[in-house]
Amino acid sequence: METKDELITTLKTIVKPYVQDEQAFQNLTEDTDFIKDLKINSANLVDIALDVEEAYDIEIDNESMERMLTVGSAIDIIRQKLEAK
Amino acid sequence: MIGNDIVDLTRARTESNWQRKGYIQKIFTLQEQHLIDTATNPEQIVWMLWSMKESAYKATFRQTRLRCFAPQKISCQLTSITETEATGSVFYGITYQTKTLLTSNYITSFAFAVANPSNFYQHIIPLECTDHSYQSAQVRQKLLQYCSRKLSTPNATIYLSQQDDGVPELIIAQPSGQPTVIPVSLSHHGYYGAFVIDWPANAV
Repeated sequence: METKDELITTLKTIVKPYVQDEQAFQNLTEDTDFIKDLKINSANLVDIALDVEEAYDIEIDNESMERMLTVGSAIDIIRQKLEAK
Repeated sequence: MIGNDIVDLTRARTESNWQRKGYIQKIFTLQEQHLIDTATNPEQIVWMLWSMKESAYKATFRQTRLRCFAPQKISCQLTSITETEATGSVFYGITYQTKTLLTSNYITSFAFAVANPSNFYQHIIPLECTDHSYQSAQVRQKLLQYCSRKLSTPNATIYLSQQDDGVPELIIAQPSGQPTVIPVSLSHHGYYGAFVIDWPANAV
């Protein structure tokens, strides 16, 4: 499995097209909030979930998507799903 | 309890591909998917339902302050729809009523709790620039200008409070006694912004 740093790097590539605050993107950490910090449009959270599904060949169910609001929670969800594979 | 949302359709076309595989299924209930599938203008129905959901989410958030992204748990029913407007109800913990304006450029909704209908004022603001912080500042400025005129109160006595959790309220200083607090909701997207004011019965 990818290390946490690798997961963050992949996630950064996924979220980049939806980011509306470049500065916050440059300073991205696990605490970075997709909507509050990166100013991502909430309709694009669905795209992020779908992109993550495609990149890792996993399914992000609704219960997981509910919590996918920060970089850290997205990483946790991806790890859980990969472990369960 | 009030919440609103606006979708700039031109912007939405570049930002989101609602026809993408899996997209509709992640957001909409089966009943809503049926409305989209059978619509003559499915794009319009997609963004109308989306703005209804967002509005209800924001109204609920005012009460609960709980963040969560569960668009399928917010379910919409359409009551009436014409070429220019729609009304509906949205269930998300409680039932909200929604009003939507449909134009060829934007779609905007607001939601309010059925239990306490009050006196709502909605205003749409065309924006000149799509920069996120510019838009946010513009919508706030227009809201304050509007209220200052409406209440014949100097700008200095009104301010917009928005705590970290992002629930906005208008605070109007009173010469004597407690300030008046008025719930408002703001939204912006692409070249459009909107605000809704939940006027208390005695404010205007």
